[in-house]
Order: sequence, then structure tokens, then C-alpha cells
Amino acid sequence: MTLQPPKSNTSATTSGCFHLKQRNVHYSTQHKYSQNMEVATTKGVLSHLSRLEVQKRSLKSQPQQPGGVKALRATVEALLTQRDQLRAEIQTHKNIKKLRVSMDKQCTNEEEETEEGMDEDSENSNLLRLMARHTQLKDLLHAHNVVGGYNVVKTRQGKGVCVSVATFYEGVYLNTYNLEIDVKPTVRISRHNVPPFIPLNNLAEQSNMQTDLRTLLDPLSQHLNAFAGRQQQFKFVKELHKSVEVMESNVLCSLLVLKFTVPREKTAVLCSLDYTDCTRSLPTRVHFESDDEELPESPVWKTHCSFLMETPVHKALKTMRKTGNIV
Amino acid sequence: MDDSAKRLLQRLMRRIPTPTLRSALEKWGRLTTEQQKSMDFTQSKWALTERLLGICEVNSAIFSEIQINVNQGMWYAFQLMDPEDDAKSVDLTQFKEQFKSHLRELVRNVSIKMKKHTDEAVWIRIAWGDTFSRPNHLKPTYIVHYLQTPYVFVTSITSKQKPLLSQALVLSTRYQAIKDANLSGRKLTAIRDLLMKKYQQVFPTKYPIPPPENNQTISNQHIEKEQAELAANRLQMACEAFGGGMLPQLQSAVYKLETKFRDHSNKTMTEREEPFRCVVKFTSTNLLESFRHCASSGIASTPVTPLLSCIPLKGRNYFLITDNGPGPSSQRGQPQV
Repeated sequence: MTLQPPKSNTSATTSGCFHLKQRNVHYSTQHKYSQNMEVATTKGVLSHLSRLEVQKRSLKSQPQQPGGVKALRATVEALLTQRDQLRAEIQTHKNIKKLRVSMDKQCTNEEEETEEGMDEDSENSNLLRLMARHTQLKDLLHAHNVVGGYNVVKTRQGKGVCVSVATFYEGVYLNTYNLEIDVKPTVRISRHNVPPFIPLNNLAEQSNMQTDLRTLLDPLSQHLNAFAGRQQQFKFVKELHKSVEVMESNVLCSLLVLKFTVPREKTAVLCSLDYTDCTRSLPTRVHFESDDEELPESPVWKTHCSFLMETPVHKALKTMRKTGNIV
Repeated sequence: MDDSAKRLLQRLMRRIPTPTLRSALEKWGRLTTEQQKSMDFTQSKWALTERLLGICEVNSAIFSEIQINVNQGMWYAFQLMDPEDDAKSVDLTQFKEQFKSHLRELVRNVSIKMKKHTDEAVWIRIAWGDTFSRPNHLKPTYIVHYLQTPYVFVTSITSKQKPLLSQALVLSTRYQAIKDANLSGRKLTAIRDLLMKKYQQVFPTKYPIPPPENNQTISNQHIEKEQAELAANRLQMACEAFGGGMLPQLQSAVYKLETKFRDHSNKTMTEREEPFRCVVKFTSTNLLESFRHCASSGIASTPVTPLLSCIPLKGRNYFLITDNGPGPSSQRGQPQV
């Protein structure tokens, strides 16, 4: 008779108390099975001992390690090749490091590329040079990421910086906004071309820019990119959907009122899109108004409502026109 | 077009001298070239007026923009201060209603027309009257405002009308105060572009601006070679201070100085109690362009002095400069803008 192994695998990570509880439960079921075959075991120490004995027996019956010595030799081989690989990698890294030092010097001094005296043949050295360049670019990218992906240029002999914040929407680069910031004696914005409806002063006051400039730049980038996104959407609506009339909008692009015409009945529906969260390019509220009071409550228009909340407006209009819901 | 507008146009046409009529209409710029051509200026003024009325009906031109006077008025910029929390959600309908109701509370007999243009500018035309007289449409005040920005541009307003307008504006835009932005000019687009930062600004980059194409024959190659880098630096600094490309057209900049006369040989002047006042005024058809050229050509020293570069930086062309230092004969005070 084989006893089932205790179901402790899944509960291994749970508390010991729970684990123990399962075992106790199991012993009582064990008791039922063993009653027929063996002398009735008592709960407690004796049953525990008998369980251990069974475990030992099951371990013994497991297949042996395949040809012990052979296996060990194979392991040795594998480890040796691994060691050689690692040694080669270390050597490559050393060479790349040497190359990088001279490459970085070249970049700052803008000297002509000088021939590096490499011991290996030309193919190898080219490959090494490529690898060094790769690491250089990766480091540059990492530094760019640390700065937050913003272009920064030092100005005024290190006493200031000029930060560029790029905006883009749907994969197209739009305006770039710049901030000239004095670093000494205190961090202070001296000049910028951010439009006045973006609350730059508020963001600067709320940020921790004396210690971490990114506490200003990240929210600002969020505002600017969201604005650029909304601006593009409004532009596309005006250009691509001439049958939809733009009743109202504003410079901040935080409000858009459109007039739809429903085909067949030719009823007009006024659609108000509020973008009260200026860090987002999707609306916070969509509202329909129509002479036909039942229309905005109909399920079709309720789906339109949620659709417009989740999709950029120019794309939503395209779909709505295609499905024939609006002219 | 309503009757009062028609009558106004007729009166305006009567006031313009016939020889200047064509140029005045061109300056107005509201007629297309075909429409302009179709006006037969050999006809009588009455016939021309009728023709113009017909065209205006077609164009549905808004009178808020008529500046048929040959002398264009000065536009002044104001800045709204301390927005309330709901200032950024003020929409056009709310602004229109609130402005009209607030102004009508303050002034009886006032005619207010408000219209939004495609560039989001709200144009307001106010004809002022009072308890005893009807609104005077021949001396209207024009106001331009972009919602969700703190700037208001005003022309043709008297000092009596200013506080009334200020109150109506502050209440309807949901700000707490309004102040003079110390910027004025003949062209609305210029002062608007300066404050809204709509012109091309130049910032320090790794790549300097390429020098402009020089059509002049180079007199001396050696001089050119030596001066090339210096010229490029000057151009970069000039453009960083004033901007690149087309600059907003300002006509003047005024610096009012209040300082102490310092000349020990002239006791009468140095012993005066009151500060010594003087005014420095720069005028030009395009002031910023002139300053930029002065800096890039080397006439003005670079880096550009902050007294000049703060015109585009702060968006103002009227400055009051006072001394900072204590006492008459002590060290020179730092000019404080």
C-alpha cells in the first residue's frame, strides 16, 4: 500500500500552522486506509514514525543518478567551456573599454579619427569598434533617459541650461517648447516660449525644481503634450469632417462644441466635449443635446457617448460617419 | 446687417474725403480684390455707399473691425491677475452674458456687440452713452480677449471709461484684478504676438543660426574670415534676445528714469530734493527689428543689455527705472526695472 504524499506543496509558502493542520487532517484519512491492512496505528508519534519509514522506502526506490562519474565529467566539461566563454567576454569588454576611452575623447575633442593600434586583425577590430559604438550609444540613451528624455544644452558657462520639451501626437512631432533656466544662484526660469494658457508659473511653484528639475519638466511635458494632442484633434476635426460644424472651441483646446446632423430625420444634435483635465487629450465629459429629447437617452447615442470618451474625437467622428449615425 | 449699422456706415462714408476713399477701403481690407475692383470710384459717393452696403451684406462684415480712419488708434494691453478656480472653464456664452450684464449695471445706455473670430479671439465693441445721451457709435471702444489667457487688448478708451470696463472684465473672466501691462502699439497683431509668444523665439542650441545670405560683394576676404565667427556670435545673441524671423512690429519704447543728478560741480542740481526725471524714447517703424540689427551688426554691444532685451522678455515697452541706492552722494544705485 502506498500512502499519498502529504499535500503540502501548494501550501509550502503559507504559514506553518496551516501546513500542520493539513497533515493532521491527512493522518485521520490515512487511518481509515491503513485500518484494513495493518495493525491499527495510533495517532501521534508512532504514525509519524511509520510515515517517515514509508518516505525512506519511496526514496530508495527512485532511479539512481545516471552513471555517476560520467555525469560529473560532463559537468566539468560544461563548466570549463563556460569559463572559457566568460574569459573571452572579459577580454572583449577590456578591449571595448579601451576603445571607448579613445572614442569618448574623440567626441569631445572632435579630432580626426586616429588609427587605433589593435593587435587583432582588421575584421576583429571593426567588430570591436562597432560594439564599442553600441555601448556608447546605449550610455547616451541612458543618460538621456535620466534627464527625462529632454534635450538639455548648457548655457552661460555652466550657470544656466536650456531645456527643450518636444511634443508629438500619433507619431508626428509637433512644436518644441524651450525653457532657459538659471542654475546659479537659485534655479529660476529666465525665458521660455510656453503659451500663456499653460500654467507654467503654477507648475513651477508646485514643483521641487531646486533639487529635482524633473518635478517641473515632467508635469510640464504632460500638459504640453496633452495640449498638442487636443490641438491636433481639433485641427483634424475642422479639416477632415466638414459636415460637422464646430460651434465653439478655445485657445487652450479645453472645450469643443460640435453640431451633428442625424441622417434621415435631419435632426441636429449638439455635442459638448469638456476637457477639464489639461493633462489628458481625451475628454472628461461628453454631453448631447437635441430638440428630440429622447435621442440622447437612446442606447445608440449612449454608446456614442462612451465611444467619444475613449477615442480621439477625429477618429470617433470617422467611425460615426462610416456607420451612418451622423452625416 | 441692421439699420443702425447701415446708418453708421453711411455716416462714416460721408466723413471720409473722396480722394482718400479708395485707399481707406483698401486699408480696411474687408473687401476681396474682386470686390475692390468692382467699386467704380468715378461714381458719386452715394452710389459707392450703396455698392459698399451691398458688398457688406454679402460679406456680413462685422463693424467691430472697422478702422476706416486714416490714423489707426493705439492698442493697449492689460493683464488680468489672480484667477479664481473656475477661470479656466469660462466658456464663451458665460463670458458674453456676464460681461454684458455687469457693464449694463454700471453704465446706462451702452451698446455692446461681441463676436468670436476663427482664431478664438473675442471682439467686443462698446458704444458708450449715459443717463442723458444715447450711445455714441462714432467713438466706440474695441476690446480683444482670448479666453483662458490673462491678456486683454483695448483701443480708444477714455480714463473715465477705463474703470468701468475693468470691473466688467474682471467679474466676467473670473479673475480678481486687472492691471496695465505697459505695452502699447499701433498694430494689434504685434502686441498680441509678443504677449502670446506667437513669434519665433531663438534659444541656445548646439547648432548656431546660419548667417543670412550676403549678396554684397566681399570687399576683403581676410576681414571676412576674421570677422565670420564674431559676426555669427553677434547674430546668435541678437536673435536670442529679440527673436528670429519676422518680429512683432512695435513702434516705440519709453524709459522713464527717476534718478539723482550727480555732478559735484553743479551744486544747484545735486542739492534738489526731488528726483531727477528724464525720459528716453526709442521710435522706429519696427523697433525690435532695429534693435536686433543694432546688436547683430555690432552697433550695440553684445550680450544685449537687459534694458533692451526685457522688451520682448517681459512683453512691455514702457519702463519706470528708479535708483536703488540710498542717499545722493553715495555709490551709484543699480537701475531697477
